[in-house]
Amino acid sequence: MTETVPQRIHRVFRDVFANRGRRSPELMAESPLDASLGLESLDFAEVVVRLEMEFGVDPFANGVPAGVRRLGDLYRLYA
Amino acid sequence: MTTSLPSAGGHVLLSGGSRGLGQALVRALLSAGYRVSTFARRSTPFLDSLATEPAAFVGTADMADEASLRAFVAAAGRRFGPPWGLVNCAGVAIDGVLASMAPSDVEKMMSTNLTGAMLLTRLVLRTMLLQRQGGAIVNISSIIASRGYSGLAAYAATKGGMDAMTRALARELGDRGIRVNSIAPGYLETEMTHGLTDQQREMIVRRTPLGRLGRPEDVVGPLLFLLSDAAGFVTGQTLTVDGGTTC
Repeated sequence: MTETVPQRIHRVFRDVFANRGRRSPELMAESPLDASLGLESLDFAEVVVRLEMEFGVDPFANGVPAGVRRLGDLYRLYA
Repeated sequence: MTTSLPSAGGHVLLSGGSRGLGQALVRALLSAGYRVSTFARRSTPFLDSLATEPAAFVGTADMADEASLRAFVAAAGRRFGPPWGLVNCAGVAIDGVLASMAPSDVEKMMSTNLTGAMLLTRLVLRTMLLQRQGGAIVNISSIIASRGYSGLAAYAATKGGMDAMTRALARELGDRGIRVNSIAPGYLETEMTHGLTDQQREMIVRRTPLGRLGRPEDVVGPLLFLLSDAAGFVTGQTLTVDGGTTC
């Protein structure tokens, strides 16, 4: 079955958590994209690079797009 | 001196390998067994001579053009895999008192020596982070960054900025096993210093305990050291290689 965009984004986040030796929290559209998620700044940088590889586009090329605060905000960026 | 190769394949990307110090460093890295990718704005006889060298990848890119840097990093990655090491060596030096220096010359030094180095580092870091195998970055700075020399204010600012980047990045990347250091050569016998007068040259030699100008080869040992596992606990430092000029 083909993964949906949210599923692909969640997989990327889980990979980064796994690579850091941490268990991924439950990922939801409402999950905040800040330290409370359990990732550091450099981890988020890695997420952005991995998402670029996953989707072939980098909406963060010119900085964080306006209004991106929660995981669900990423769904529309990569849709 | 121990200069064991990094375990992650030994691909080092070096900016500005077409001549002068960069050329000597490319040769040394190849001799030491690294795979080297390098670029310049245009080809030179030295870069052309690398066409038959299987451990070398040569491209064309401009430090002032981020898109060209991005394309080169991608091409180098396709050839040898993501770089494990980065040497920021590309640089231009234009001397003259600041009050009469053309703004375009100031901007050229800033964009090549500092902004370009930062953007290239950003691009390479993105691949290093994914590899999770650590890495080493060496920024070729200058003693001009820490000592005042009349006529080199803009150049000094770019190199001082580079050293500041070295220290900040060392802290930012330490827990990913990526080390960041600077090498600060003194005056080297390269095209960059051909404009020195005999009088200036004699003054530098007089002030240098080891009694001569540096040669590009003098920077080789320190570079191989900083890239190697022998420097595995060294980060955020500037290693001065100037025959003692600034001691």
